Amino acid sequence: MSALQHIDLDVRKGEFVSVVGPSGCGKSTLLSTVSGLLTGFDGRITVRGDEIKGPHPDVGVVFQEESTFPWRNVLKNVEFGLEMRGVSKEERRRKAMEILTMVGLEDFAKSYPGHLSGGMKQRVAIARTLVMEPSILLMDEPFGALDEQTRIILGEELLRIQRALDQTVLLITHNIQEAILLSDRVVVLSARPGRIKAIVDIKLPKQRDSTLLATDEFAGLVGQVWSVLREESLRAFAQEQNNDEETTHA
Amino acid sequence: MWIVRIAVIVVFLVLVEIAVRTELINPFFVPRPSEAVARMGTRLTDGEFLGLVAVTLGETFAGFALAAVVGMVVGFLLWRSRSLGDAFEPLVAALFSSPIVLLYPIFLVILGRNSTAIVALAAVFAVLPTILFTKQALSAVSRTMLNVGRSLNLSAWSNFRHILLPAAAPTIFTGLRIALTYVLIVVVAMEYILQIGGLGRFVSESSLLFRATDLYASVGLIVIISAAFIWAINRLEKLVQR
Amino acid sequence: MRKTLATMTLLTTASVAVAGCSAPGGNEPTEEGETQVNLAFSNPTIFTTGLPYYVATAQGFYEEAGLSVDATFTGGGSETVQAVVSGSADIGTETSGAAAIGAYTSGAPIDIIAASTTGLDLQWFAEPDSGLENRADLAGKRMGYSSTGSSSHIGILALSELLEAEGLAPAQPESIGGPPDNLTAVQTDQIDAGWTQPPFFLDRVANGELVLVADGAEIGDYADVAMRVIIGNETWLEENPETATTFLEVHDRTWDWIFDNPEEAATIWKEAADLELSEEVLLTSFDYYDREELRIAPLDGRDVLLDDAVEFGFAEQPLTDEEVNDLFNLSYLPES
Repeated sequence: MSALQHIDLDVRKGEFVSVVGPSGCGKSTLLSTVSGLLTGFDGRITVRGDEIKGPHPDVGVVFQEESTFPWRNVLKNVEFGLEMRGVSKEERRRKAMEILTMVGLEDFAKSYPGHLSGGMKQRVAIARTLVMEPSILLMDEPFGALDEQTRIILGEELLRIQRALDQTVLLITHNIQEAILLSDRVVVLSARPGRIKAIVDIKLPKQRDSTLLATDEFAGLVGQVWSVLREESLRAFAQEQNNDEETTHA
Repeated sequence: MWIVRIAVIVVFLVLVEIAVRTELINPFFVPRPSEAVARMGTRLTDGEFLGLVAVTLGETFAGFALAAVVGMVVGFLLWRSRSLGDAFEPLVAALFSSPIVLLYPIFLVILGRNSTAIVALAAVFAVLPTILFTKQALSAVSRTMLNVGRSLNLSAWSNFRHILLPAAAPTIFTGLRIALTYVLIVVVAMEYILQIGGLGRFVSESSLLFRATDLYASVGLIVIISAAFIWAINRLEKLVQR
Repeated sequence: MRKTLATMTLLTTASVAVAGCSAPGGNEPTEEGETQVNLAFSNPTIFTTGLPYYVATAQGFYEEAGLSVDATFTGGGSETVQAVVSGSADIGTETSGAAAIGAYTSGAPIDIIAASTTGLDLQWFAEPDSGLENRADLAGKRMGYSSTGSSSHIGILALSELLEAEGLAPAQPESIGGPPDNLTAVQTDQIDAGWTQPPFFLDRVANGELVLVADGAEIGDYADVAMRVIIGNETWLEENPETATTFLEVHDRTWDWIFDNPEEAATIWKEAADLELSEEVLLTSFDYYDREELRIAPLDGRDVLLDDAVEFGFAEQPLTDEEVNDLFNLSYLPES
């Protein structure tokens, strides 16, 4: 059985789109294909009309916090991509410090990831991608391992940076509130094989922050997304149970 | 931290010195540490003795280099090829826990009663932890880290040099440190048992001739050599993680 | 931590080598009222080492004299001295005089109390295709011995001295072990010539599998020298002088019996040492040894032993007369 079927999605320049779906629906597979890390599927992915056949220089992928390199300090982690691309030492130092200031880590440039909190490490991972100045950002559960407060604060920061740099973002998450708070549109995938079940437009003001969480409007959107997602989640749950039984009987 | 370590050693030696001087410990069996340290100094200006040190150092270095290179290459191959790894890893692990050192007569028969046999035995013994730790180190490198490199379109070499190797280095170096310890033990023990080669033979002869001062001076020197090798490995580890 | 492990291993090796600070006390009588004697000697299958112990045990000579004797087998030479020095053995037989002297000069608390074997009863063999035929051919060759300080070691050193005096290269001594280990080492080309004592491997010489290259008799003037001696732990001797005398008396009497009853002795030997050689071959030992070589007294050739100990580097300086008198303590010999 394939992970995804009939996915047809356009993301406009400067748009922030989140993908939610029941666990195991192929959200991560979707991101892997867009990032060019996964090849050998049926269909086409294009960036400004160019078909993607592998990692694309305009596309930056933000990985989870454990992707930071423990043997490099924060500055050297952020410089990594530039260093690999052969950018001069002064240049990459300047750019890395600029980004570190943007994510609020300028005082930790010489620290090693082992000494940082989960949230700080995630900022390092974000900075490492941002420093490459990608016009498109792909993120797979970037805040997955973080506590609720940290993920909300980091989410706001991400939004601020995205607006400032006018980036296009595709975010994979299992957190409905996070998806709604950050996005212009939320895509809900169905249970496996993943298809686009619904696309919810988030008509909240462009400039927004976490105070929105308390509004009725926000609660309404959560209800709207959840009603679609609930049905699919129950189906996915049932699928899993069947699989379990099959394995047991086998 | 190292000041504390040195202090502990010094205090221990002073206690032994007192115990020997007051004949709490029979001076026939244990010389005064001060004498042993002084003897170490005079021996180190003795050309013949330095020749023995050179032999032991040479055997240790050769055995370790062989074990390290072969072990890391084989470990890498076992990691690269899943079927090879599945087939051979349990075998290597089983050998690792068996007393291979008892096979030394076979090495003597094949290679002769010489340094080559000692180096070969030491290398065979030490290659096993190197293989196991290298393979486990590479397997444990997270996919996410490797994907960082892939998303940047890094070459295979860059991916290896800048992500795979430094990420696996701590565990590989744990294996290398174990390998080095094995090499040094096998080299000195074989020299001791066979009475050929360098410092091990000197220790054995000192013991058989009841020269306790020489015995402890040379054992002390072996400990220092061991510490020096470990220090060198730790330096190397830092270099790889850059 | 791992470094510590290596260190520990080495220290253990070292301390095993010179272990056991505890001086032996007076031995308690066993349940049967016998006095315990712990004996150490090397290569127990050999005529001069194991045989008197096996015979005295089998014939009940120790028991009759009120002794209960336990034997520890060592690798030879200085290892026997180590066993006695550390107190794990009270008496060591068949240990080289030079090794005992060397240990004494380092402060080892031991006495030489009797002769064990007079003369150098060793032979060196090689493979027929080695081209080795006589003593001179051994110049520069790898020769096996049992352990540092043993009579087989002294033999090679003395031979090398002879070779050098003749303008030839000295032999290269290799520490191999007893005669069986030497045979293996010769057959696998780890050494060129190995040592043995009659009658071992002489059957192989007879049928052409091996050749004899050198004989102890042609190495140095050792015919009247007590090459191997009996030593005792000084503290133990002082506390158990009568037991020591009784042991020596039984030891000497056992040799008398062996030479009076060669067939029976051979049977006991074959069985106790679990030998493959036939009793017929074992009996040929009596062609090589006579009773006089195995007397516990007189202890001849002390000067040669003392000279060799210094000459071959076992003692760092010559002993004073006082030290010689202290080391060679013949007061435990039975009166006869």
